[in-house]
Amino acid sequence: MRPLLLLALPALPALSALILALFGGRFSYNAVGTLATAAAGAAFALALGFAATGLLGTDAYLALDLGPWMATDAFQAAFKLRLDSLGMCMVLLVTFFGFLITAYSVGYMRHDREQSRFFASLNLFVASMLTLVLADNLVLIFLGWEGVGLCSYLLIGHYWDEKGVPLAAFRAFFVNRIGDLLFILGVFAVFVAFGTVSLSELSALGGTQIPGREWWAAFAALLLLGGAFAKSAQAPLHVWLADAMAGPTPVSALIHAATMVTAGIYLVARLDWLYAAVPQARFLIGICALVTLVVGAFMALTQHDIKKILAYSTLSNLALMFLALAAGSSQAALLHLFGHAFFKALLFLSAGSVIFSAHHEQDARRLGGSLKALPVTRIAFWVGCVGGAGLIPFLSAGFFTKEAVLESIRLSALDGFGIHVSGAALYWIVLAVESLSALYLFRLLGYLSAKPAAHDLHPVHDHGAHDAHGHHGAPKETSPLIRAVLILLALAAPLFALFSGTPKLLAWVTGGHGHAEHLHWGHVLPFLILNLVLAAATFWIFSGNARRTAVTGALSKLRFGNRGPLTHKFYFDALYDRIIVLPLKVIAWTLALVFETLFIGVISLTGLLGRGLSASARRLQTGRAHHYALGILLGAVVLSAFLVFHFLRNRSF
Amino acid sequence: MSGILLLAALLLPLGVAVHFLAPGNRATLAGRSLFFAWVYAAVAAAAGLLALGSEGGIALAAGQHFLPTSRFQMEARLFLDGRNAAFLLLLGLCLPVVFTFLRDRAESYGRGHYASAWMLAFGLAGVFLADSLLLFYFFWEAALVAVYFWIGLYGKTSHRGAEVYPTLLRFVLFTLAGSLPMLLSIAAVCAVNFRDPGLQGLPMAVQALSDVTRGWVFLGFLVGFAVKLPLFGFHGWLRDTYGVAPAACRALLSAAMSKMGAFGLIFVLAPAFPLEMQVLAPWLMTLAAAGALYGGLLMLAQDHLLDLLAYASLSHLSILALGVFAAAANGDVAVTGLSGAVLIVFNHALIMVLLFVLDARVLEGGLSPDRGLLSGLRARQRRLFAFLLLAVFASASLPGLSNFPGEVLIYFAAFTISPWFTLVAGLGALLGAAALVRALHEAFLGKPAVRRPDLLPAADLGRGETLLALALSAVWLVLGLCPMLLLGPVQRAFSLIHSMGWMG
Repeated sequence: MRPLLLLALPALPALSALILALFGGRFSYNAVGTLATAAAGAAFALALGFAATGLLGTDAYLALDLGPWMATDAFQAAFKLRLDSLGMCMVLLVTFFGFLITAYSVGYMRHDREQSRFFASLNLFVASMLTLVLADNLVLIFLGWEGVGLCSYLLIGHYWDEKGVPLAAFRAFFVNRIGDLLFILGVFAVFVAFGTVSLSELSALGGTQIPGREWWAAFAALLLLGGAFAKSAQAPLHVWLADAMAGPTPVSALIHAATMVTAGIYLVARLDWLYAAVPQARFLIGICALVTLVVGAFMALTQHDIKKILAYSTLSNLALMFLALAAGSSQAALLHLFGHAFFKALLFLSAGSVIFSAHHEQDARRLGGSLKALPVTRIAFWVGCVGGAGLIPFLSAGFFTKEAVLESIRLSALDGFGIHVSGAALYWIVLAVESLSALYLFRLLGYLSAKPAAHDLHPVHDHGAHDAHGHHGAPKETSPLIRAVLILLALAAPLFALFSGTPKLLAWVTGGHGHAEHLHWGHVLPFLILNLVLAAATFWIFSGNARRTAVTGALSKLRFGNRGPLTHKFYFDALYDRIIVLPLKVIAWTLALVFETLFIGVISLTGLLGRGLSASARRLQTGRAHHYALGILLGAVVLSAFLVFHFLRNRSF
Repeated sequence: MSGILLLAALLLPLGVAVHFLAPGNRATLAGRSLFFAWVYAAVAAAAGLLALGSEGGIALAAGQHFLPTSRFQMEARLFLDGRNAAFLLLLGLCLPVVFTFLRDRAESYGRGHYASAWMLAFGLAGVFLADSLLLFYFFWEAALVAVYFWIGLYGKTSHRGAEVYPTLLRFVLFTLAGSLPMLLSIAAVCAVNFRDPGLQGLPMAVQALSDVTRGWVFLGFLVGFAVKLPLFGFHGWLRDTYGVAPAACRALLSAAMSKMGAFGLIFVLAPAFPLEMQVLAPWLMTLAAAGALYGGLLMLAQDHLLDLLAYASLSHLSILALGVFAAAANGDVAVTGLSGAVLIVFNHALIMVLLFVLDARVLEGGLSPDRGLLSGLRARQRRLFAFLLLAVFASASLPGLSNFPGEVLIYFAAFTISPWFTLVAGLGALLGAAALVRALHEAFLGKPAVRRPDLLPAADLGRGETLLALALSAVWLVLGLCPMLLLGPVQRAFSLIHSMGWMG
């Protein structure tokens, strides 16, 4: 394949996005959907073509240098794309899911409005993500980095006239912008430290050049980490992700499975050599990821909104990946990135199918029995849940990848700032929290599989303006596209699970350099069985209305989940309101009232001063002749005195 | 040929201004002005591209003894090279935008409106092209006079209740407080050999001054440019002047006139006073970074889109100044900082002009959306909102759009001095962008509602306006993806100057 074709990867969806943004309003819905899907599909086909050239699992790479993007004598960033084995895996991931989700959206958005804008943003999303993973330097990565931020903002705000939606979009924008600022500062720090921002040059000289530049390297590592945390929703910058559920469901699938949130993992994995040299940064990653893991898992347990449950589960899974990065095993993090993509896409798209057929009802409590009428969705949902909980080896997309993460954690330790956390301790904590995933996923599945209560099938609520489609009544799988995509993914996920059990995947993401840890079945089996029991028990409880009511009633008597951190999102929002938003507002208004008056008043002050001076000067002008005469006399005296003095001193005029 | 283009670029606006002063058919005023604006855009583009393409730029001189009866030597010289071509280009591109988007409302304006606008363009073109210091000063004040008449004749009490004449008086006092010290400085420089050295000769000429005198001359120039830009602390005229000015005037004030200050920083202070700049650089950079943060913070406290844009101007221009000061502080990033500043000059103008004209197009009567009084305007003004949002993202330096490369270069130059400058300025830009996005959300998103009877949403953009806005966006996109088109010649020109030993 010619390297120039690399440009076509992001350019095809970008071009389609441009066409849709400019002329999409004049196209029929089918034309819009076809164009968007075709562009994403063409990118996928192209990616397959590149994959066939034998890049995977080797050191080989393709590069396309389009000259300098911005270059002066002191700062250079090239427009250079580079495709290596890891990049190839990411490109396959992005285009595969991008294509499937776009096709799915054609079914999902059929009765929506402003579809051309939606599909334009979707295409641009894929294009940005492709730019991000193909870019050879950090500034070019930033182009894709901000691109996905922009697209997520646009897509989260899709239902722009609904309550809460603009705010959710704004929060995603703002939190990501904070990360972006840190990111670009980190890029500068990298340039100051190493004299280049090119990833290939950096990793070539990275390990050897660090001595003597520890401070800059640490600074760069921490700043870039800020960017990665915002994009991949790690505490304390995770607050936007759950709000982002305000967008249409396919968008959530795209954000969570293949794009956006994986960007931070990808970045840190690419800069592995840098983080290896900065143990403090790894320690920080570990602590933040641990917090996120707990927040995500416990929040997922208590939510009732289907999409929010899945969103918090993403938080928790991303935290797992970061824990692997903290443990120094970027390969485990990347493996789980791929495993997670498969089951999370499946979960979100099945959830979308449920929501779609239930007229945009998202409360799991009111969706009892909805899976019964949706046979394909039911299978897909089951495959997704089994995959997410990692219940069946060789069938669960997340099983081997999660084990790789756990194993990497067990073999490492967190060290930094004088604190030492042993790998074993960390392993047990993570294992305990991770087993909650079986709980929250099968709780959700239980809700959806329970017998519908009489009032559930026809919920009395406002469907909202976007629910224009008229098929009220029992939920049905009406869209063949949605069904097709679900079937495909439900088949692909177990295939991936099989594949992830082989060393091949590891070779692919590491370019043949990774070394697999042997899976100790003796370690794994007890927990596997425990998880199976947990999942089965949870499902059994929540799929029976009477059992569920009994258990939740008992739990609510304990007041667990009704009060305290869980109902307040662990107080992060309230904390930010108090320590950031409120002070900013106070400062802003104080400046506006005090300083502005001062700056504007400066000139009035000079006016007052002038008036005051002239007022005193005016007193001299009395208009009386004898006053003036006196003045003249005084002047004459002073002048004569001066002349006399001068003469006496110099003996001449 | 190049000389004729230069002369046309300078004198065409004057001719058009005179044309509008003469009595004529009132109904065709707007159309004629738009026509001339396009002609001028073509002339400016031709001259600018010619200068960008040629090594060393182009110039036109009218002899050593421009003033025939005096011993005083002054060469009336115009020049255009890679450094100031961007300034002329932005002026040429802003005028058609202003006259296209504000055409409907301009029907109610008389000849004075157009004559003032073109007088302002004449003054600006003169400042950007003139080499001689006396001519530079003459055009500098001519622009001020034009704005004075424009606002005086057609200004309105602002939404904050600021009256036209007190505000105008304050504007003039502020500006004079800046330009009179500048005149003294010019006089001091000219008095050395009884000769006007011109901008190009200024670096040599100030060497003849004693250190103390040169310090005072530097301060005189600095104050003049600081008020015009404005720098933090010198911006007292800004908000209310934008408030009372006619929509077209405020668009040009922010897009083009503020660039006079930028021009001074880049063409007078940076090359001629490297030592003074270097000594003061930490303070000046602090001032610039503080201005960026202060503007961003104040934007959080504004209820009115127009005020937000006024403070956005302060914030963005402070970042521009940061680039110039960083260039002065560290010779290694001199070319980077100055090139970044010129990039921002051009791109900021093209973005702000659209933001200001679109702001005036949201409501009937050129009113600007007010917080809490409107929502859901997007239902009616889809295109308007799309371009406003795009312009806001462009002004927030979204990568891929034109503001980004310049800002990266400036941030990097500042970063090499101290990361704190970049962090503080970046924080200001971040807050400002957030405030703008939030303000747009409040006015345009949500359920459609207008909560005050006198606020009438205007119609969405028409076909011609949409096309022009698209063309502008295309320029942003092209310069965002291929910034070397502009950056290449600009930094070549600066490297040339730099290699001659100026700028530290």
